[in-house]
Formats: sequence, C-alpha cells, structure tokens
Amino acid sequence: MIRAVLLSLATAITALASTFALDRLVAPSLWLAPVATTVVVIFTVLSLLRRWTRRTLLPSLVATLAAVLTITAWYAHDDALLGILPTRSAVTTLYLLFGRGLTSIEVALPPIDDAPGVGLMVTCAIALVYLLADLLAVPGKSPAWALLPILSIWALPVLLLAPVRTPAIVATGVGFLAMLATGAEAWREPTGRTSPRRMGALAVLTAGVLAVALVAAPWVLSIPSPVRWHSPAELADADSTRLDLGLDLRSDLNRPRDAVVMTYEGASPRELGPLHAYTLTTFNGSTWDRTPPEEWENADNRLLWPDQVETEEGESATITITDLGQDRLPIPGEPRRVEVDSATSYSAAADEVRLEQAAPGELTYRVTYRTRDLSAAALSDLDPTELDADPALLQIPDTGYGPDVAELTQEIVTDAGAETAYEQLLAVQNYLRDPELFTYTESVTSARTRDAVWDFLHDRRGYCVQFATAMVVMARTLDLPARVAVGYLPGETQEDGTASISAHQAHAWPQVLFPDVGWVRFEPTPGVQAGTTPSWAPEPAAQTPEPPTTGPTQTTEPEEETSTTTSAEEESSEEASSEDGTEAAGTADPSSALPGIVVLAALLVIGLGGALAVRRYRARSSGELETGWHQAVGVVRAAGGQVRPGSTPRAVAAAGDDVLSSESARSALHALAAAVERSRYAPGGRDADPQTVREWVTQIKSDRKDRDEMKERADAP
Amino acid sequence: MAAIRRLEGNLTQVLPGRPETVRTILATFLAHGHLLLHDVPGVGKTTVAKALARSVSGTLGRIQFTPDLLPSDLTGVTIYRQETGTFEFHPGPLFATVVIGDEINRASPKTQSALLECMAERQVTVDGTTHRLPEPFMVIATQNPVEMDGTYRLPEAQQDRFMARVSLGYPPDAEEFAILATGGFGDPLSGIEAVMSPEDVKAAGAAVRAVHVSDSVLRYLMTVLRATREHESVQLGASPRAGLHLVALAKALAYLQARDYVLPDDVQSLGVAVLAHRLTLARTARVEGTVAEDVVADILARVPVDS
Repeated sequence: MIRAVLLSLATAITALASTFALDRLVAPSLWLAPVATTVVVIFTVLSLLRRWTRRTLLPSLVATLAAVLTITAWYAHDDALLGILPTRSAVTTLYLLFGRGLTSIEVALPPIDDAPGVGLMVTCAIALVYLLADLLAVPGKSPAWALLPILSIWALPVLLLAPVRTPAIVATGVGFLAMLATGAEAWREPTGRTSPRRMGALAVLTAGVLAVALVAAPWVLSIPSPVRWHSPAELADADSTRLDLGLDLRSDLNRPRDAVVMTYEGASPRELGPLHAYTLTTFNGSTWDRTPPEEWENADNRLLWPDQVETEEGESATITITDLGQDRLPIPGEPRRVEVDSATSYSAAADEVRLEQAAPGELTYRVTYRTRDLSAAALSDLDPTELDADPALLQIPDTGYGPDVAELTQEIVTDAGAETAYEQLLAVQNYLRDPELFTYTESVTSARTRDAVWDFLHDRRGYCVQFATAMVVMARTLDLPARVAVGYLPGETQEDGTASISAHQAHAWPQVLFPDVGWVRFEPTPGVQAGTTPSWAPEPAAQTPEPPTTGPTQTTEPEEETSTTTSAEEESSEEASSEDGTEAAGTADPSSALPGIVVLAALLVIGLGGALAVRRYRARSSGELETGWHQAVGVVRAAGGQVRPGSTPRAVAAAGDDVLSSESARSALHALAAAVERSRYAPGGRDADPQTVREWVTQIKSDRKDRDEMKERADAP
Repeated sequence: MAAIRRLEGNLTQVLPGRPETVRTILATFLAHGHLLLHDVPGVGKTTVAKALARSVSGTLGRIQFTPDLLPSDLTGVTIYRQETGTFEFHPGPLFATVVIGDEINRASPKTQSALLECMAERQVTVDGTTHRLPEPFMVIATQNPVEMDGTYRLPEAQQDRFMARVSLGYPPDAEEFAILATGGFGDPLSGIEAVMSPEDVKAAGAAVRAVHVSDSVLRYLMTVLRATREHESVQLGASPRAGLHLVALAKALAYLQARDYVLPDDVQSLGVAVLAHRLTLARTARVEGTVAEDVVADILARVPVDS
C-alpha cells in the first residue's frame, strides 16, 4: 500500500519535472500553478482511493474526473457551476480557449508567455501523461513502461529542437530511477530472482529501440537526427565561448544573457563595421563544422590579411574586451594590424587571430585597419569564379537538394537581370532581405527535409545564421567562393564617445572572396539584428523585386518524404499572409501540427499499451499464484496428504492440515488456498501480491525441509 | 441474512444433527427448486415440510398419492353455483406454499405428470382458466426406496424436474435418544414461528441469483456433466437441465455461506444430491450392485478442478 503511494508520488515528480522540458517553449508562468495543482489533486485522489478500494481502474477514472474539475476551476471558473462543475458554457469556454491556444502555437514565438490557451493545453497534456504513467506504474506494475508517456512530453522539445535545461533532465532522471526503485519487483521472475538473461534482453531491446528512434528513423524519414557527434575540439570549445550562436540551423536562437562584451573608442560603429571572431567553411546541410584551423603563424606586429596587400596606415580603434570568454580576438573585416600585450597567432586560411593564453579579465588592444575600395564599380569588374579558390569554399552540402537551391538561385539572378558576380550577389542578398518574403524570427520551424537551407528558403523564417548560410550556399551554387563569419555587430556609440558591444549583438554574415580585394561582407539578414547593409551592397530603394514565380516547391525529392507537398495555392497564401507573420487560422501549415499529431498518436498507443499491461500483469500474477499453488500441492502430496485431481483448494488445505508439521506452513497453505480461490472464482478475479505469494510458498516448502531434517535425525543412530 | 439464519435454525430443530441436509433443503427452497426425499417412512419428512411452510408464513398442502388419485384432486375443480348462476373455482391442495406429495410413485403416471406440469409452470389450468400458484411454491415429494407393490417408477423426464434428491436418513444416536426420551409427546414443531414474509423470500431469491459464477467453475461443471454421460456404468447421463439446477443450487448454497461467488466445493457437495437421481445406470452396473451415488462420487473425485 505504502509502496503504491510512493510509486505514484515518484511518477508525479517525474511528470512535473518533465514539464520543465517545455519551459523554453512555453513560459512556466503560464502552466506552473495549474499543472502543479492538477498533479497534486490527481495524486491525492489516487492515493486515497487506493487506500479504500482494491480496484485497479477505478482510482484512475475518479482521478481523471478530479483532474477535469480542477482544470475547469482553473480555466473556466466563471462559467462553471460552483466554480468547478463543468457546465455547457464552461465546456464552450474551454473549447474556445483550446482553439486560441492552437492559434497561439501557430503564431507566437517561443517562449510563449501570454496565451492562457497554451497553458490549458499543457495542463491537460501533463494531467493525461501523469494519469497514464501512474496507471502503467501502479496497477500495471510496469514502472519502466511508465516512462513512455513521460517521454511523450520530451518528444516536443526533441522534435522542435528546443534546448532543455539540465535540472529538468536530472530531476526527470532521478524521478524515473525512484519509480524503478519503488516498483522494482516487476523485474523479478516467479522464482524471486532477478534474471540476468532478462536484464540482458531488456538492455539489447532498449539499445535497439534507441538506435532505431535516434539514428535509423531520421535517416529513413530524412529528418535530421537528434543525435549529433561533437568533435573533441568542439566540446573543448563548447564552454569557452560566449559567442555561440549555436551554428546549427535547426535550433532556435538561444540568446545569452545580455552582458557587455567589449567597448571601443576611436572609431564610429559605421566606420568599424562588424568584428568577426572566427569564420566557418564546412557546412553539412544543417550544421557548420567548428573544427579550428590547423595552421597558425606568429601575428606579432604585422599586417593580418590572407593576401599580402599594399597597405598604409588607416583608421584605428582601441578595443577593450571586458567579458569575451573565448580565445579569438574580434577583428574588423578590413586588412588590419593588431597591437596587443599578449602573444597571438594568426590563421590566414580562416582569417582568425588567436590569443595564446586566455585573456585574464580585461584586455585592451589596438586595431589599425585600412579601408579597401569596395565600391560597386570596383567590385563589378572582379570575377571571383576566376580565382583558384580552396574547393571547400565551393562545397555544397550533399543533401540531394543542391540542384533545387541552384535552380532557385539561378532564377533570382535571372529575374534581377544580374550579369556580373557582384550583381548576382546583390540580387541574392536583396532577395533574402525582402520583408515581403522573409521574416526574421529567433525560432525555427521543425525540419522537413535533410537540407536546412532548403527548409529555410521554403519556410522563410529564421535568424542571422539561416540567412547567412542560405546566402553562402546560394553563392556557392554560382561558383562564388563564400563562407560564414561569426562575430559582433559594431553596436552603438555612447555619449562619452565610446561604443559598447553586448552579447546580444552576436551575429553571423556571409563573406565572399573576390580577386585582388579579398573577403567581402554581405548582409542578407533583414530587421533589427542585421544592422545596415554594407555601403557597397545597398538595398534597392523601396522597390521590391518580383518574387520568382516558382518558389521552392517540393516536387523533386531525392527520397521519400514525410512532410506534405506544398501546393501552389498554399504557397501563395503564405506569400499573401500579413506582414507581421500571422497566418489566418485554418490555413495552418500542416507540418507544424505534425508534432502534435505524433504526440497524440503516441499517447493513444501508450494508453492501449497500458490497458494491455494491466491485463498482462493480471495474467502474470495469477500465473505466479497458480505456479505457487502447484508447488504447494506438490509439497502436500509429497508429505502424504490425500490430494486427488478433484480436490478443491479447500480440500487440499484441509489435507495439508493433517500432514504439515509447522503451524506457519499450515496457515500459509490456507492463505494461499484462499488467494487461489479468490483469483479463480471471485468476481473480478482479485489477485494476490506476487511477493506475498512467494513468501507463502517459501514457508510451505520450508516445512518439507524441516520434515526431511527430522527424518534424518530420526534415522541417525 | 439474519432471517435466513433463523429459518435454518427452525429446520435444524426438526432435523437435529444433519446440517448438510438442512442446508441442501434450504438452498433448494431459495433456488425455487423442488425436492425429492428418498426415505423410508417415519423419519420426519412431513415435519420438515410443515416447519418450512410455517417458517415462511406459508401454508402447507398435503397430498397422499394413491393409484386412484386423479389430476383434479390436485388442482381443484370448478363447481356450478345454482344460487348465483356462476362457476366457482375450488382450489385443490396444490395451492399452498409448500406441498408435500407423499409416496408420489404410487399414483398413476397421468396424475404424476399433472403434478410435474404445475411444478414447472407454477400455474394450474382448470376448465380453460389459468390460476397462478402462490409465491413461493415448493413441492416436496417422497418416494419409497423399496420396490413395493402398486408403485410406478417415476420416468426419467419427471425425475429431472426435481432439483435435488436428499435422504433425511435416521437421526444420529444422541438425537434419536432424545426423541425416544420424550416418548414422542413433545411437539417437534413447538416454538417454530414465521421468520420470513413472502417478500423476504423473494428478496433472498434475487440475492441468490446475483451470486457470481466464474467461468472456471462453469467449465468444471461442464466437465462433470460430460463425465456422467461418458461414464461406463451410466446408460443415460445428466441433462443440460441438470446443469442449470446445479448452478442455481450452488449459487444458493454459496449465498447461505455468505459468499458472493460459487466455489467448486459447492458443486462437489451438491453433486450427489443433484445428479444421482437423474442417472440411469447401465444394466451390467446394476447387476454388479453399483448405485448412482457412487458413480457421481467417483466422477467428482476424478474430474480436476483446475482446468
């Protein structure tokens, strides 16, 4: 009894902890109080009812009812009878709220923090998950399987690739271990020993399921696998950088807390331009490879630029780093000389400056840079395709969608009437900057194909990393060597003449390699985050280029697709959707409802599985009871008791009274007979606890041992 | 339940020292069955019937079966009243709560069948008018075990209508001594009062019907029935009706023991009472001196309860 309460409590804690897996998607202020209340109510009802009744499903049914009342009281208090009883109007209110929640999910950006409908959805989901998990764990005696409904919550952040806080994972894990520990007997065999063979089989099965779910299924369905292999270098770097835009196109922008990273003086933000810390070349279709460059050379007192260009003293700025947290110095995109009091090295391939020792606290350095002639006229005469560039700079990820991206790019370029490489790049940049087409958001939609760039060009929602990556890939399809630079926007000038750059100004932008002048920045990211376009790559003055007639449509698919093919109609409805990015409910994108459908289906399957597990447990425990009874009958028969095929359990117990020597064995036999009778003949087949059955059988068997010993002693001379 | 216990006490008073028999009689009454007593004269058959009738505030009808008894002697007759010019029905001795039919095998088969019909239908049709018999209604019939002159054997189909056959048997020594000591002057029915109204009986009947019978008990019972049909000493085995009666009686017995479900033990303790009188033994077995009770007991010992 106490075990059932503890198990239910552990399940409740696990379910609650799992809810925090959603906190980057839905703000806890929306759900914490109602979810906690509902879970506590369900737990209380379950525990009390289990005290009073031995029924298996009744407590869960009543608890479901209690959950409905609690949710009504939270969300439809004014319409409910006495504040908790659902009336017609209360049901209508809840239904409408639910509908609004669906719309909010479609429209709002995570974390959603002002949509009660979403809170209602979360509360209902968690209540359902807890009820199911408890059903599996307590009456079903399978706490391990109870993890399935719990995991359905985790499926959401996994599918949407939302980051989850470590405490939520830890608390859920601990809760689950507590569930396993309190319900550990489920693993025992009828003999009462844990079977290594069974455990081994279970481990293999689990590993297999995980492998299929995490590796094989995404590969077959051509969605990105949630498992990513990190190189050791990446892991070493992982904590050491504050400049982590999470260069994975599949993840939402996870902004660090807003701290001042550095200040500088001596140049205006406009003159200095963005400062990059590192550049990235290798892209696999969804993430950029962050392996650091291999070749470094001494950077002391020399011009730092990949190609040795003629230089004069130009502008200079003094930069003070207050909180960099990494070893790459942010440097301007022009040829520059860096004067710093500690040893640095320079990688020409990546155009990065590295501090040999991590900066102790503050670090001030002086940058002298020369502005190049990057006017439209100058750039128009240059042809990057003539360069003998590193093939990595032209590499298009092998996802099967390269040709589609190339086709789209070609179309944009043709529509813009671009001829030179410079014009082509301008056309691509301004296509991406077009507010009529693309929306800047910090959250990304879930993957449809293996190619994140193709998805982005299709969904047309993303942040700087998506925009920059898309432009780089598109440029590469035009045979223009390009890469992504990661660093900071130049920030704002304060009143005292210094400018400060905060962590929020982290940014990524494409660079294209031109002959003679070297790397040239473009700015495809629209909106606040992008800042202004470079002077040499202006936006068209208030004229929107004609969008291509055929946008990305998923007609040429390299592999079987799970997502729905977008019809031209829908395409146009998306294009016609209002500027703030809201879509009319009803023309919702079917793919965004997919996770919901998947979770719902999973819950249904789990519910069915739970019912089956309860049945199987009954069958198994009655099997245990019958096995035990069979053994007990054997003991009575061996002791010389009168047992015939027609002997009922009572008759066997009576026969045992005549032949069993110890009182404890006799009473155990009677208890066992009564249990067998109840399980076989009573309505509902009430089953005995397997543990108790084993104890009875042990006691009955020990009687025989005692007898054998006594006989030996009697036979002994 | 308390009323049932008092009723049991009343029957125990007239049948001292034989609790199983009392329980079977009571269970038959609650299961709306009829009882066949298989006894020599003079062991208190009538007393038991009287005690039962009085306990349930009912009436007792008594019919002494003779070879010249006619069906109308049981059911009653319609008589023309000249002063009113109407026909009037005069109910016969069947219109009672407990009807005791003494030496039922002395009557002609025609009269026997009239009795058995009203046992099954619980109604009597006289001159085209149907009259309901009272509720509850129970027939306790006696048969003489010894083959005497002027008796007709009850046909198998009619034996089948009786839910159970019990023998009251002779009282145990102590009880017989007490009977002899009073010299027969003590009224065996003294102190026996009505402990149940017809409504109580009806409610108890409903409770009996609600007793749960698990599938495994039903399967066991089927196996037992089948075994009677396949037994080597049996020419004619138990009918499906026998099974129905056995289930109903087992439910009543479980109810009397305050259990809400039937055990195979109930089936076993009733098996002989319900099945033995329905079996027709093979000629060879009769010659060898086998009796039906032994056959049933043998089957109950051999059929496994846990299928």
